[in-house]
Amino acid sequence: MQLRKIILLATILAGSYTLMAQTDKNSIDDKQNESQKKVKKSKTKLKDAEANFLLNYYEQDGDHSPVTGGRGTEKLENVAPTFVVHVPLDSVSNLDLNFGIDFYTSASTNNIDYFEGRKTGASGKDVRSHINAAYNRDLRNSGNAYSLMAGFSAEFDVTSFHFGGSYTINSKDQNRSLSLDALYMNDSWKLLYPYERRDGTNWLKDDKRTTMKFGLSYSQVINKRLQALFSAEVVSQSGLLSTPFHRVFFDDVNGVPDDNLRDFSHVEMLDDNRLKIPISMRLNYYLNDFMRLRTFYRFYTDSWGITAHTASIELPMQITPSLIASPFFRYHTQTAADYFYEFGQVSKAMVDAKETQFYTSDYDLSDLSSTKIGLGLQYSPLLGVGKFKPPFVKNKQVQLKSIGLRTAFYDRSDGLNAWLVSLDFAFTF
Amino acid sequence: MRDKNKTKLLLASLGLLFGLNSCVSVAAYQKAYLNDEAMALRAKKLESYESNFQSYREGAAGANGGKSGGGCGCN
Repeated sequence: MQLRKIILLATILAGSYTLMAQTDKNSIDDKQNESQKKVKKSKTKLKDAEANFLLNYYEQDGDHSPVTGGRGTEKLENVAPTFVVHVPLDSVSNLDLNFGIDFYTSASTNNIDYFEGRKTGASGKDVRSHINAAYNRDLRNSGNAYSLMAGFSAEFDVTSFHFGGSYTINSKDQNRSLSLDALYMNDSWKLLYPYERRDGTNWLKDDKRTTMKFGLSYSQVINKRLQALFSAEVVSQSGLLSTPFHRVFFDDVNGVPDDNLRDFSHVEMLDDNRLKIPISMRLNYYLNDFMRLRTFYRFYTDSWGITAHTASIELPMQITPSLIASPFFRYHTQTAADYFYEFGQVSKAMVDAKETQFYTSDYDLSDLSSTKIGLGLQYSPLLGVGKFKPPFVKNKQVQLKSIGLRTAFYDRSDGLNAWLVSLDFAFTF
Repeated sequence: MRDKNKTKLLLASLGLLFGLNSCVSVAAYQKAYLNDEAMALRAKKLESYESNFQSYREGAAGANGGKSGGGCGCN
């Protein structure tokens, strides 16, 4: 049934590509002239610096929190402002900076201390701050490019850093490119166990997680209207892959009243190694001057037994010369991890017999499907939305180039649903 | 076994999709359509928030570090 949906989606896309769009010839000539001008102009003038202020509000609710063993509230709200700055350093190199803070309240995180006074309100609060920097350089002689990046994030129980780089080989006609990239991530955890399991026992042997990623992507211009990108990644993780405050209840809880569950909880145990292999494809088609087609498909498999398919489609539509509306739809389906058990499903006998060493009741790792539907709006007048002089800076004008809005509703087959809205204010200076 | 067949079928469908369109050499001045902002072969900036929560709410994700907090990370 799920595969049928994906095949139906692929068939619709195939049909769309075969449609020959009706296009005004003058419009094509104008665009080609503009494009030629852009090519000439880019050789002579250094581009403006750009800055984006992004703001996101996210909320979700569900009833399968892993903090309380696979049942219990997952209510959460998150507000996340982010700044993204792009600064050209010279005609061939630039710097990207990205920094932001997540402010969130989580009912389930608050339930880490569930058995201490039975707290159930949505009062668990925290902030996470993060920063990332990337240096990008075009190699003028070869036409290739490379990028180096590093970043850091911190919150109450996890600090992380990462660094990596990429190298892109472009064909002379710029119709093909091959990119190789690598990333190293390190997370250090404060091991915060469920309240009733804090008896001095080291339930988990590691407090660090390392992630290494190697990626390969290939982009290809297929014709004047169609281009594609293929990507493959190998991601290796090791160390602490369990979340220390996730609870699991074995089958000995059957018939036990909720008030007495504290004596029956276990700390989530997951394999300390995981290998992930996602393979994805993007295919974008310029249907006509009114509508473009953006598509995405990903196949995923990992060493924990999860296999997944994800497909999405987006149709950006030019409503007016300044306004683009982009409805989108995404479908995802995955099998469960080998170690997933519902509340009260795994037995001590299974663990003792080494039938399973690992167990989790985290529904993010369960057999599930999800749909996401939403709309994006982009308002970008030719001369910008407005100009203003920034305080404390003389002889400088900032232009608000465009405003973007995107909202989406997410529905997961186990009953979890989420809603989010994001804003993007793009400036040049 | 059924899953393998499904995957092959899906990959074959996508292969066919590509087979319908042979590649041609497109000069820089002919890339007006391809240079359109909506044609970029990357996720939009605003999509980063969605990629983030999806990487937590779905066990199948790319190179995210896994459950490490960040708004909706661990609950």
